[in-house]
Amino acid sequence: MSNPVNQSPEYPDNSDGRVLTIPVSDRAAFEDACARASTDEAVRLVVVVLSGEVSVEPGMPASIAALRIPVVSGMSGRIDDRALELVLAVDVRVCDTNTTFAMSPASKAGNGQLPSDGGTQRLPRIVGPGLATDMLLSGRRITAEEALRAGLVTEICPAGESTTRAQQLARKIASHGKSAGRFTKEAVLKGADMPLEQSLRLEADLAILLHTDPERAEGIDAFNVRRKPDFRQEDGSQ
Amino acid sequence: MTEGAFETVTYEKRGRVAHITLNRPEVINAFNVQMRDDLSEVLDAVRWDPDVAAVLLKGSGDRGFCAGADLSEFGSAPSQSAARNARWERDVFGALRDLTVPTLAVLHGHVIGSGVELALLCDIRIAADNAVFSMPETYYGLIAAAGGTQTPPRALKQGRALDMLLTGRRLSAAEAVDAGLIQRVVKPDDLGRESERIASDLAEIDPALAGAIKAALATARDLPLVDGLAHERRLSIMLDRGIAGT
Repeated sequence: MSNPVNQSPEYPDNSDGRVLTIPVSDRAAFEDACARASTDEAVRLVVVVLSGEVSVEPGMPASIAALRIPVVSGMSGRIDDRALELVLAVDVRVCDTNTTFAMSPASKAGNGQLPSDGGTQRLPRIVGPGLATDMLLSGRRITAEEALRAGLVTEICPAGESTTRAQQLARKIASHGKSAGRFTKEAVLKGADMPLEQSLRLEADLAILLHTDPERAEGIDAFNVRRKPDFRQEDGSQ
Repeated sequence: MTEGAFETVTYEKRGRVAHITLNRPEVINAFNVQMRDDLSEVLDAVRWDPDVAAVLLKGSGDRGFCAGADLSEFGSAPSQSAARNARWERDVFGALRDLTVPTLAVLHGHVIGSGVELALLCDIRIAADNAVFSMPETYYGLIAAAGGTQTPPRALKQGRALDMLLTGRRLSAAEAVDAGLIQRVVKPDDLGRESERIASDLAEIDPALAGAIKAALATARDLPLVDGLAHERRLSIMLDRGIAGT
């Protein structure tokens, strides 16, 4: 899964306010940015950059999980314990070749405390129960390659490039329909806890609700005349 | 007998295998309203035909299995409630998913959007090594509406599914098999022969057993383990007594 995404034109940078990078090192700034991501209609996408050195405080994963717009993270270094819990709340995860991951409540580093920011719940849902149990009980550290195979990340980039790559993917997603991205995220995450039959109802209802959104008309028109959709007008930004 | 050519689909029985072919090769078998209606008739015939013991679903032409929904027809529904009614009145996707006989999706070239969704409503997926998979809906301001937000997370793991859906990332056949989107990859020249071999093997399975396996797997997906184990046990006893599939 390391091929580039579709080669469609991307917006040159995030200066138009569509992509918001959330700082992790400063708690107050982190919460401010999360609040802005929830309220500022122009923000379509959130990027979280994590290097192993940053300490993640209790409750921060929940703030990321509460965001309704898509979230991308670029990772490097050792992504352990609560930092791992933080990225488990992210939608699209990429890391560089040197990144490793561990969740070690039973070890000395974990202080013998049960993860309380989703580690025992999201990890098995994302990597499968076998690997999650191994990681949680043995504290085994996994490599970027293993994380890719397990579906914990979807792309590995060269050392030092994970931030750039995350920003690139963020601009790509941010150029897509905003409601479409938001509804897709909701359908995937909320549908995961439902029987398939009910989840298909949720998906269909969201798809039909999207009929009322001008973005959908713009996308269909663009497709039919073979041009790139431009969703900037439809969401009131720019 | 419903065998024969519809406007957008061909249906042919070979032995006990129903061969269903999406047949709009000029537009890479783009899924339109007519195809929905044609497929709906075919699947209805398959469902009630006791001679059919397996289904093989494929696309005609060299370019691909299915290039997705035909967006030129989008926006034609008179209202949202009419669109919602239409979705469930002719639920062709549900009809495919609910078949009790084993179903095999045979994929090549472009497998995009609805193409991925149709494939994921089948039980097993085999692809030529030239197949390329993508879900570009959000690029066009749309969301998948034939299970594309539900079946990929269940087949692929959640992170990969979200990545495909949100970024529009394309997967090669090799990447798709690693990700769990498909189960087997073969050379394009071998796709026809290999898929027919698999389908005829599937058709050899006792239909009551095949139906019970599919029902049990659906339970494993949807129910708590304790209920799934009880269901499996019930199905097993019913099969032993020859009363399964009733």
